[in-house]
Amino acid sequence: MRRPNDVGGLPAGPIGQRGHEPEPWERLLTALVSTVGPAKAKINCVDEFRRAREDLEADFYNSLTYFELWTEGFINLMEEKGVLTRAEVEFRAAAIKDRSKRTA
Amino acid sequence: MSEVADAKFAPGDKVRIATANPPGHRRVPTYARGRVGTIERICGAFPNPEELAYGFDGLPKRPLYRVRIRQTDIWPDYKGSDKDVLELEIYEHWLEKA
Repeated sequence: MRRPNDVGGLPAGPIGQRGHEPEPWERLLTALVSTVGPAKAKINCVDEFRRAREDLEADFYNSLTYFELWTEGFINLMEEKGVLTRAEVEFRAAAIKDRSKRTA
Repeated sequence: MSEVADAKFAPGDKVRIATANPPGHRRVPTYARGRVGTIERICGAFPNPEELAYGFDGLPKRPLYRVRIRQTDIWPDYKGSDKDVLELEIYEHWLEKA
């Protein structure tokens, strides 16, 4: 099965070369992913995390930015391992959104 | 270069990358499958990432090779020099003698 990351040699448009500063949430996610990684909590290993991202359905995969891919893969992997559920993540995200709206 | 006692191939050997398309998380890119190249070096032996990807320990360790393939053997319309090569790191179970 050809996964959505396996695109070598397929026709494609130009590659965007412009860099950008990471968003705060992207930094947080990077810290979170490495905290549960092999050297620490041993919940996540790099090969599983990669598989979880590349398991995503192709159209969905291609619609996401790099760190959005991380988010989706990470949630699926943590759900698969029984660490947390997507509903818990969404509940918490909604609570944070609500709080920031009230304090804005 | 690490010593791998039971490595099936040695530097200089001609090998073909499998054309297989098994289910699971396989990392050999589609464009490389079925291509013939030369063993450039033995990289060592490592837990199988295809097993690690699903939470298993990946043991026994599998020999990993750097395989050198001519660009013109991969891309039929390659415009660069015919001396250009691509080196890919491929596990032993994806390789056969060519």
